[in-house]
Amino acid sequence: MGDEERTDEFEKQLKAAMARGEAPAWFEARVMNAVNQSGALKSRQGMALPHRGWRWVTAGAAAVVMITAWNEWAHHIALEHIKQAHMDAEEREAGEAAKAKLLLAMKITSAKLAEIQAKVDEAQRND
Amino acid sequence: MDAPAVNESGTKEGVTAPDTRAGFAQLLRVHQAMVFSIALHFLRDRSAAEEVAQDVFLQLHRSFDSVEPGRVVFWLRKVTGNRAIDYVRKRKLRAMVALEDAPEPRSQSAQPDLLLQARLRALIATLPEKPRMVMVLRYQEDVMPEEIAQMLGMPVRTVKSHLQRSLAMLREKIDRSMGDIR
Repeated sequence: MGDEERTDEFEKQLKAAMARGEAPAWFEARVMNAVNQSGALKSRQGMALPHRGWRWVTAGAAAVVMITAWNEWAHHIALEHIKQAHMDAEEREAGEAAKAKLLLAMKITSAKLAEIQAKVDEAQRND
Repeated sequence: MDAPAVNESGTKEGVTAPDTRAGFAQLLRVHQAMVFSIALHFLRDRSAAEEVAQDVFLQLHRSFDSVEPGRVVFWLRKVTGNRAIDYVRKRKLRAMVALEDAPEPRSQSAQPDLLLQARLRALIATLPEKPRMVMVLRYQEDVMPEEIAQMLGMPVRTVKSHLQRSLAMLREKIDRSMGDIR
């Protein structure tokens, strides 16, 4: 037998060895069942988020809510800061006023004491 | 085979709505033997072959819109080949099934040598993954090296090299164990 004939015969045997066989009888039903199950799963997932477009709408709405909440919170914080600044200023003004009153009172008291002391000194000299 | 809407070349003729159950079922009916056999000749494990073949058809169902009508067979061979290789790599599957589990040929050759054919299948199962899949696609499906290269994402010269080396190994082992084929 020549080399070419030998090769042909060998490859012929190889093709016969590797010939297609039948799939199991139940294979088609098994695949269709799996397809149906995956379809059911898909539709269940679809009920939660029906369409990619809706996901973007949902994400956009969530972003708007978050931005709005952030703005509200920042506004609230700013107002609190302003209120606090006002309160601080009022307290400072009240303190200043009280201090001024106290200084005035002390000045008056000091003047009165000086006047009394002068009177006492004059009385002692007269004695 | 009675499948009026889908021909053997994979053209989805007459399938009006691509994702219809009937269209997919016809493709499944026509091509299940091819897909299952590629997986089984490669894996030599019936349950593993069923699993891989089922995954291939589920992927086809999911990708039905994107698979070109005239390229269904190419797509199925490519996906089956790559999935079977991945399956082995993930599970480190080795040839572990008795020779009689290999599918029987549909048509007997003029001078059947079933013992030799069983021996050839067993020897092919010992090849590394890529050369083994090259041999399955070449000798089961009669796919040309250029197309195998596209399917498995390797250069044509690598496919040809795998074929030459694998054939040389098979010849040597067959000659040694069974004598010349006549």
